Amino acid sequence: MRVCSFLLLLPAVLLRAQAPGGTLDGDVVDSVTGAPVASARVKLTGGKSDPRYNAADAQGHFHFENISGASHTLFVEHPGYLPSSPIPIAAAQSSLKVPLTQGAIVYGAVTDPNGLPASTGAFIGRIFDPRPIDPRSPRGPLLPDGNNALFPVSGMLIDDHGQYRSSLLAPGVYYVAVLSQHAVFWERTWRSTYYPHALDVASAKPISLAAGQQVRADIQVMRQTGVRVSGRVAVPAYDPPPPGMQIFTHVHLVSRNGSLGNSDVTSSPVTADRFEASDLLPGTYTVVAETQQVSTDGMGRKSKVLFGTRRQVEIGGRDISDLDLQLQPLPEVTGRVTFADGCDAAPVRVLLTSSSIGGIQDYSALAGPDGAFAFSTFIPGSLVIGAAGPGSATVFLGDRDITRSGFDYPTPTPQELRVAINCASGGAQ
Amino acid sequence: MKFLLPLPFLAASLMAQTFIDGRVIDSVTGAPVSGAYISVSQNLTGNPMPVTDSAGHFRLESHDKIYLTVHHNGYLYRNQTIALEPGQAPPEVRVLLVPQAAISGHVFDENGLPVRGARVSAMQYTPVNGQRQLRPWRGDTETNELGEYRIFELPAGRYYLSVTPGKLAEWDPRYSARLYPDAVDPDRAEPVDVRAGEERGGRDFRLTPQEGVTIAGRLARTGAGHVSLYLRSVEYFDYSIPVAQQGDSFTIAHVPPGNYTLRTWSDFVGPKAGELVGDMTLQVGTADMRDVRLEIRTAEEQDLSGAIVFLGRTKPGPMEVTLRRDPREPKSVVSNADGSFVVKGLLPGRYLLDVRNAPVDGVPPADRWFVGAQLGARDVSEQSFDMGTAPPGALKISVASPVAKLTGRLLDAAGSPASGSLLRRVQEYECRPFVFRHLPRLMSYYLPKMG
Repeated sequence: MRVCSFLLLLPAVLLRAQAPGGTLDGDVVDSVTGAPVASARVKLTGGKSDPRYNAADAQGHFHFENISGASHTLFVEHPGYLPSSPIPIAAAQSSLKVPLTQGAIVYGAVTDPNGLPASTGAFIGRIFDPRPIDPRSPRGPLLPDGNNALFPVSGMLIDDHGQYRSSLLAPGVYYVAVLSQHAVFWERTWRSTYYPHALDVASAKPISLAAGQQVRADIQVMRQTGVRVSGRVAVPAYDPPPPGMQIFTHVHLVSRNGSLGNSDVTSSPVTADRFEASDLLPGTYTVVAETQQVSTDGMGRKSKVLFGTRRQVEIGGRDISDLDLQLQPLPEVTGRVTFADGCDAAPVRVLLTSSSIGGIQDYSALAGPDGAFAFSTFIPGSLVIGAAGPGSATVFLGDRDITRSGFDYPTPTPQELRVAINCASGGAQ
Repeated sequence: MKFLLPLPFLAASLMAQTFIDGRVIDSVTGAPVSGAYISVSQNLTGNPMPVTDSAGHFRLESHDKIYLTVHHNGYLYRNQTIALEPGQAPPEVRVLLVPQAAISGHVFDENGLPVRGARVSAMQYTPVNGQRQLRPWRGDTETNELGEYRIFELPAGRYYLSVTPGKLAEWDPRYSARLYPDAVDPDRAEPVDVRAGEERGGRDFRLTPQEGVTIAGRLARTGAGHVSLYLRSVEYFDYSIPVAQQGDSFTIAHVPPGNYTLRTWSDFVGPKAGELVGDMTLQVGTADMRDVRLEIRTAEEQDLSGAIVFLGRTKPGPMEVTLRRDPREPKSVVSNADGSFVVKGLLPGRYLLDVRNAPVDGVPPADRWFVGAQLGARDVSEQSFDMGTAPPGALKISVASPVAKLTGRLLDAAGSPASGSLLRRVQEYECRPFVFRHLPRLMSYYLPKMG
């Protein structure tokens, strides 16, 4: 490789004499106006040499010589423009036009409900895709699972002047929102807010951006009170925790009405057998209660979930004072790995993905020689099980195939969990 | 609800409802700061926060002890504790907000074209495991499509700026990290001094491609199976790149000069038992390295023996030593009566060291504080270290009781009180005239305006 790039420094005459190659001429133009884009960065990869770099001249023209070998790929970029997709260069090709699209910009000022500049670091979500949310969708719009109409393109932070700016946006339709999750100073009744002044996407105003367009979108964060939800929490009897450990019970209300993380998770500690959460907006919530044994050092060492429960609840415009919860002992997740006929039994690492109020977390456990595997307990939520190793795995809970769907933990009644390895599709050792 | 309470209770609750009044003041100009948010530790549930009025005034419900956090864009966060003696009339609280400093500029390439997506960090010298090292100080930002960057919320001080080309390095790996204005060696970097309330603009970088050297070699194995390779810089915090392999040979192009570790694990995920591992150090100069041989073998668990040393007259008492590589699988051990301990079953990777008092019969003993640690000949007092496949040596951990409290005055060159300064406890090797021993570990000490 180094020899090749050294050769490039030799007189061109010598190069031509030794390895006559093709040339490539191109012009970088603005995709909308057709005007030349001066001094764009140009890169040609492929062949046997290192990537070759070049710059377009004031007329947007670039030129490569001594191109040998069959397949090459051209890349072009220029500040303020969206980078080109990789452009395959056919061997016979000698000239081409490269259109670049100028990025659009959304910027603006964010104020809090008191009219003060929003605190530094609060998060702006850029959201795209104007399709309305299916009101029957059980999940919020932030989840990029295809059924949901919206998901964030990326995020940006508010600066010390309370302003944000997002550049290099591809032409299209966008929603802009201020999200509560990352703000340091944020009151309970302040809500994630869509541009210009909306709590949900149905009332939000989409921003349509053409190439190179700059649009100002100021947002004032909205304040809205909600209802109070409380209830009695019953926890099974337990032994006192070992030294250095403490036992806590929390109740979490996870909003499923999908207005961009508005009161996405409201958590309440349980004191004197009761919990209370305030200022919840109407909607469907998943209520998760969990009792954990954790170390007193606050680092979550040796923590274990002892009891839990999970249910759905509809919250309307009135306070609820009798949302009573009965926690149940949680089972450890255990099961067995089996091998289809003709497969050699091999060590299998069973993978488990837990998704609950703590977010999404991955675990793994090695199945023993008898195929048995065991995980600890989890906060009630959904678990997806898979396997790493030879062959493909199908996962059964009782008779039900849960390979793709996962299952709700804990199950109402104990059911056998089985990971069936089929090595027929290759990978058998 | 209150009107339902019997009168004595009502009176008692009214008594408790006294208020604390305070003012928020700009530490440089002395002017009141309006629109500052006051957050208190008693408000965990997101109740409305007091905001200072045009005279900088705020009012809080009284408690015996209040931990305040005051925030206003353009100022540094301020934490303050208010402790009231029972029956004492609440004093008027003064909160001094220190204006932020900011540094801004551009990143251009050698042709003067803006560079977007380059990361610019404001760094300061910090003792890291016994070495004076430049480390990022909060400020960390990416250039926009115009090549502009701006780092704000900085405390006043001396900073060194670093740029990591990011997207430009993906485009062309010959662009590598630089210190302002165009240095690799920290001794050649130019510092940027900023005062509270000041913004230093025009700190522009011009990046030029550097050829660097090529490192090529082979894996020398004793087992079959795929391994990943990473090249990590010893000096450059940000430099850790995955290495592409073809069969058992590898080539890394455009490596800047410096000291590196070539190894089979990343900073984040260490190897598991039974996996193939290998690591070696590389001193990269100006010549290509063509015949690098990396030994690959099966990862073996190692035991780490060590001792707790108590810097005082009494015995150390049992301490719990925890080494944490995988967050969910910490390795903990309680030291013996003579302070010795053995942590078993360690694999290569990056470890965090945690040392705390082990309870005796369920009761934690009097405070003993971590002071420092040595692993073999290495100082690991920062409680984070990399362990390779070679035996690491013994781990010596020093602990002590807190013995000293320091008070003092900070004056500028003219002998006037220097307000709004952040004081950090430093180790003796960083600042010899001041040997602060056996202090509890605190992140920072704050010196209010004096004089």
